[in-house]
Amino acid sequence: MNIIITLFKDYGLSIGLVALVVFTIYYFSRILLDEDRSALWRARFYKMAFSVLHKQEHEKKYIANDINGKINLARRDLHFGEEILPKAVKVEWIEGKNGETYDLKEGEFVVCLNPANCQEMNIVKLASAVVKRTTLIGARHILEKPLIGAIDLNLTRNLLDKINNRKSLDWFFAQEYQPVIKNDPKLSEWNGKIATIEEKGLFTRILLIELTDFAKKIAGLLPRAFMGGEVESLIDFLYKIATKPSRQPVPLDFERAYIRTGIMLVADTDKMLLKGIVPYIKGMSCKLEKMLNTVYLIVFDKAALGERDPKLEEEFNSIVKNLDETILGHSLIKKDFEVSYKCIDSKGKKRKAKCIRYSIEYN
Amino acid sequence: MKEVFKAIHCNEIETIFTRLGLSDKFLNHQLLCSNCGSVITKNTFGALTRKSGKIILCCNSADCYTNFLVPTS
Repeated sequence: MNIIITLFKDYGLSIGLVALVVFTIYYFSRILLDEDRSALWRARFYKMAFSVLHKQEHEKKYIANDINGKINLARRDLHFGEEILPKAVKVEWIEGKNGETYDLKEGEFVVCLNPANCQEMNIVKLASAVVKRTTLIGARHILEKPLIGAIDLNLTRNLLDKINNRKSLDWFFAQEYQPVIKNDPKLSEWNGKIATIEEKGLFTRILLIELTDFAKKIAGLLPRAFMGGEVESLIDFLYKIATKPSRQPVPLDFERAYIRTGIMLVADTDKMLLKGIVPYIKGMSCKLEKMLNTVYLIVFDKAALGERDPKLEEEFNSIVKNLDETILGHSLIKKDFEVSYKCIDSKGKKRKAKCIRYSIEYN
Repeated sequence: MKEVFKAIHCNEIETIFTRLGLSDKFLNHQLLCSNCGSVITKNTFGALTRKSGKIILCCNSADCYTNFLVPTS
């Protein structure tokens, strides 16, 4: 929008108007081509229509479009891995008259939704439903109930956080999160660990992705006790990393039957600036020798360094880039994704970080 | 692939029970939550599904509703 104002100022009315028309066409075509964004616009339209005409058909269309648009847009921000978790949601009203029978199919779910003035409850209901029904399919039966409950709670909380509707989040905390935590000490314990992992940004970016891969690997296999134990150990492994005091070593490789992953932390500025990429390349070679399937490179932002010495920050960033390129030069390694995010560091401060996932395919 | 949820408005609960042939049971307070066993009323209905040919319901308490939604693998 600032560009258009500048064009108006610098080139006059005609060029400014052309730019405005182009921007408007771009803006609306973006909405029209995007199913979820257009659902949100339809929701706004039907909400207005309902507030004026008070017709239930408008209210229903508002409720369904608002849920579809908000949840589906939010889940896209929780991208990572090959597929987005949870799945997209579609709310369809059961139509028909009283005299007609309704053929409820096997496995089909019918949920009761509240009126439009309680939409925050409807959003929570559907967010919780889609998380439970579409994530970690194949692994749910081998995990203990409190653990899977804690994973669901944290993913639902993430989804609602991305929707950015304070009312929904408040309702979720008061009606679902806190009562469950209060009544189930085991779930509360797992939730504490997962919430700490989440604070460090490792829940959706590492734990959930590894669990999804794990679920695919064990799909169709007979459940064994060690499978659940493997997941529990992975959570403990990530929890130790998340709570690690600065400069204190903790295990960074996780080698089990189905999950074989490693972490490389780039947190020490001096190490990177003085020794360059050599220690990290050596670390990567060790992970290859251990036959790990995935490696995550976590780089913490050096904003404080940038304020003190911008040149050093630039040098640090170029070394990180070089490290990434050198790792990718290895024929067995491919990059799955690279995401920037904000997390809370060991001193309780908000900090930017970057997570890169490499997968390794051995011949 | 989207996860489709069929929905009914809370004002139309009686209609869906009539259409499913559960009207009498509903009026006689014979519909129970499959999780906690409480009687399903107009104010406490949460969700329903068909499992092994049988229609099962749950109330709207957070615990029952979330347990009800877990897929059986």
